[in-house]
Amino acid sequence: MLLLDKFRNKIFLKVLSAVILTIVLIPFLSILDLLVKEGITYKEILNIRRINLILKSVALSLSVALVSLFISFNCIIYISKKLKRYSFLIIAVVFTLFIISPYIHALSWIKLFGIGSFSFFKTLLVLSAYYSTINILILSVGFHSIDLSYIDSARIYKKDGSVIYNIVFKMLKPYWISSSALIFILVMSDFSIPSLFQLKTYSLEIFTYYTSGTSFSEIIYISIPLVILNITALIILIKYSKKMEFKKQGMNLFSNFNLNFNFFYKITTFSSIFILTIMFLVIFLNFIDSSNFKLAYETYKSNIEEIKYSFKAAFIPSLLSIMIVFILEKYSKNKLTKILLIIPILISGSLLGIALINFFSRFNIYSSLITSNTLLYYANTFKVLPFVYFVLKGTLETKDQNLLNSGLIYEKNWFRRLIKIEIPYYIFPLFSGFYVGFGFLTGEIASSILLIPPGEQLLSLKIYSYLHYGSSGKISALGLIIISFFSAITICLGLIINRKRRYFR
Amino acid sequence: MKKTLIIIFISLLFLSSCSGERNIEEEKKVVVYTSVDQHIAEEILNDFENETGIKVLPVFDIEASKTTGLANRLISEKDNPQGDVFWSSEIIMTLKLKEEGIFQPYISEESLNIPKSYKDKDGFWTGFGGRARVMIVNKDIFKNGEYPSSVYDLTNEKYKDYKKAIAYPMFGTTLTHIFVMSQNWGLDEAVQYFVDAQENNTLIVDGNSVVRDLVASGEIAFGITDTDDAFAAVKDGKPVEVIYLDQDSIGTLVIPNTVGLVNGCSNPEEGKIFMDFILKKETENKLIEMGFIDISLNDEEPDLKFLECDFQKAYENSDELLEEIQNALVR
Repeated sequence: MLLLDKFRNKIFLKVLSAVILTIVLIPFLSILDLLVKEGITYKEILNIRRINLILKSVALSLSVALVSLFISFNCIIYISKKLKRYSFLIIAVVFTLFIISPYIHALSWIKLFGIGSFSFFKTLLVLSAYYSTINILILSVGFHSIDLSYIDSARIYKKDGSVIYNIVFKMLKPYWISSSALIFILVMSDFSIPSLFQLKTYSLEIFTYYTSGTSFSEIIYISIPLVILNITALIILIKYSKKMEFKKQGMNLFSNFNLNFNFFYKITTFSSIFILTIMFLVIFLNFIDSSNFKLAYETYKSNIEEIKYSFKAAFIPSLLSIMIVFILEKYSKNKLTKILLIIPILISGSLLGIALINFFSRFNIYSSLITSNTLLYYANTFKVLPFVYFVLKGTLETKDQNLLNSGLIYEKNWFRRLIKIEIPYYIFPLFSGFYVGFGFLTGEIASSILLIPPGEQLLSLKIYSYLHYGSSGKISALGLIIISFFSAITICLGLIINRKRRYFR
Repeated sequence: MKKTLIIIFISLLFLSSCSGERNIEEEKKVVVYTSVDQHIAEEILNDFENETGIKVLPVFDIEASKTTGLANRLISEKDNPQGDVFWSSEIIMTLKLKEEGIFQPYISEESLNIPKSYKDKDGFWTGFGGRARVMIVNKDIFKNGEYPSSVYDLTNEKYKDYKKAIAYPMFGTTLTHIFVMSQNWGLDEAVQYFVDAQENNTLIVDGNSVVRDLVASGEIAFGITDTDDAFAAVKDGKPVEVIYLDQDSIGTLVIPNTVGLVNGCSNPEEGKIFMDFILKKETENKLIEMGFIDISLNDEEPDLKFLECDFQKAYENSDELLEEIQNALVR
């Protein structure tokens, strides 16, 4: 029986690995195919102007990484220290920020304060608040892994403020370097927010080439400096993520002893919380300024189909991606496959969409693939794999393996084991991974615009199209609908999980 | 047994959620790829459905990708086309698509009154309903009522102290504008115009709607944009004035909507019916009523002075021009 079970597992894993490889490799093959089809012509890649642009992009990306680190580090300490009972709810609210998508923030800023000035500052603020979610997730795992005895020893010799910033921060080095590298890559590749705020960056330059109908091979060619920088960041990310420890020490760092906060710490914490709060305020003020509840209700009614479809387009790929990453994390030790899970972060949405259409459209099955949402789900699953991977990898390892093994003694069948023991035990990390994937996909537009089936529409695309003719009332109404809709779901799920949390430990 | 049932149930659930294809095999349908603003296009498509009973499956573009998203999709789907008709809010991408062999010829009877320069001689595309290039001016800044009204005012020393804007000429209607400038003035002159404008305190921004927003908010004094953008600001009660360019000299550029039948499409007959509908004078009038276009190309004697141009010829040097723009304009 045990042998048969092992055999089944082996077959199952092989099939699964083949599925993963197919999901990850086909887009790469499609891009190569596109390059071969179009041919490469030599063009000047770098000149003074582009060097300036790339330096500006690097400055923006590093600034976003630092500011979001500052916000999240302070917030997480404050939440752990002062609001532990409500910590899950607060984190859920912060997650909602991630769900809202940065361009709704950006639009609200534009409508309230105009677009012409302080573009770097506004882009920095919007993106920093957005990416604080990723930092909070990764840092919270780090906080759980710190050995309290080191902190206790340090507190004998140092003041609490020094302990936080000199010792705890240093101990968290692998975590914040990993998250900063991840955020660096994401900001370097993002063109939407800089474009909305009229901030000229290198990714916007590439997007401009795309919109002017330049050939894809040329676009790939001028993307080389960006790809080199992103690969460098990815190497740093992989290197430091290996140093991250996910052994839960059994208690939360700051909730169990009394740290005395000094004035400087209070100021930094206040400013961090204020920056996050202000994002909600801006969206809400924009709603009050240019919309009303009647319009919000009418907008909701006329967009029910879009909301449902957006939900489906984000839900199914997020579910698929957590299944893939979870099973791989649990059963496969193949490093190459895991690296392949991270690499999609380097591929832009537009390129992915074009490459997939280019590849699949030569087959007769293409019509069925595009009209049945399969290609949209496929691309979304591909794009969200790295995010889900980072979240799941961290949170899965914090779980006590001995406890799980004890439970597994009583159940030999892998499927029943999965359904009855492993999934309930890992429900919290799985939920986190799912939520991050769902949040990311709710705001995705680049590949969706190319792969959406005829007759369907996504909420994110609709908001973006409303931008053009300045229907600020509808935009702010949609912004509020999204916030209300996802906050309500998040808080309900949060409350349920929080109430049942003791069963999941 | 229980396990098998669970697996079957989950598989069925998943498959049912994957199959988004609507059950409209029996009814007539047409797949329309359109870069026209969604709220405008939706109303016209609804009218078409009500009038003909043919179901429309639309695929929209977003403003940010300036029709390029759909054009790229059409090019990539060339071997296995999914769209039947491409309805664009501008012309340059349509010319590119014609060059790529995306269209098949169809000359609609509704297009007979349309001037020759606004339709392809072989019927690969047809233009209708134009949007003019206009100057949008902030009235709070120009209180004396003497507004700039020429395309040359962006380079005019007289307005050096005023902040002004034009969209980046690598996409959208500003790309068409520079193509036509290049045809009329020569390539170097056209590119130099943008360089001079920048030196004369002109911002090169990311789209016509940005020009509008900047002028409407008073952050800049004036700028060149399209009529649909400009009139949206007027409708919102912003303190702006809209002036057609160069009416006392060369005339203003009028950029048509364009429509083409996709080569090898699945529903050519429905596609032709759609094209006939969209090219009708009544549809053009409705688009004017909605504020999306403001010039009928069906009028024999239009009130407006058009800038003379040949879009097909203007497009011929497109690669060279684009490269010059890329090299010359600091972004």
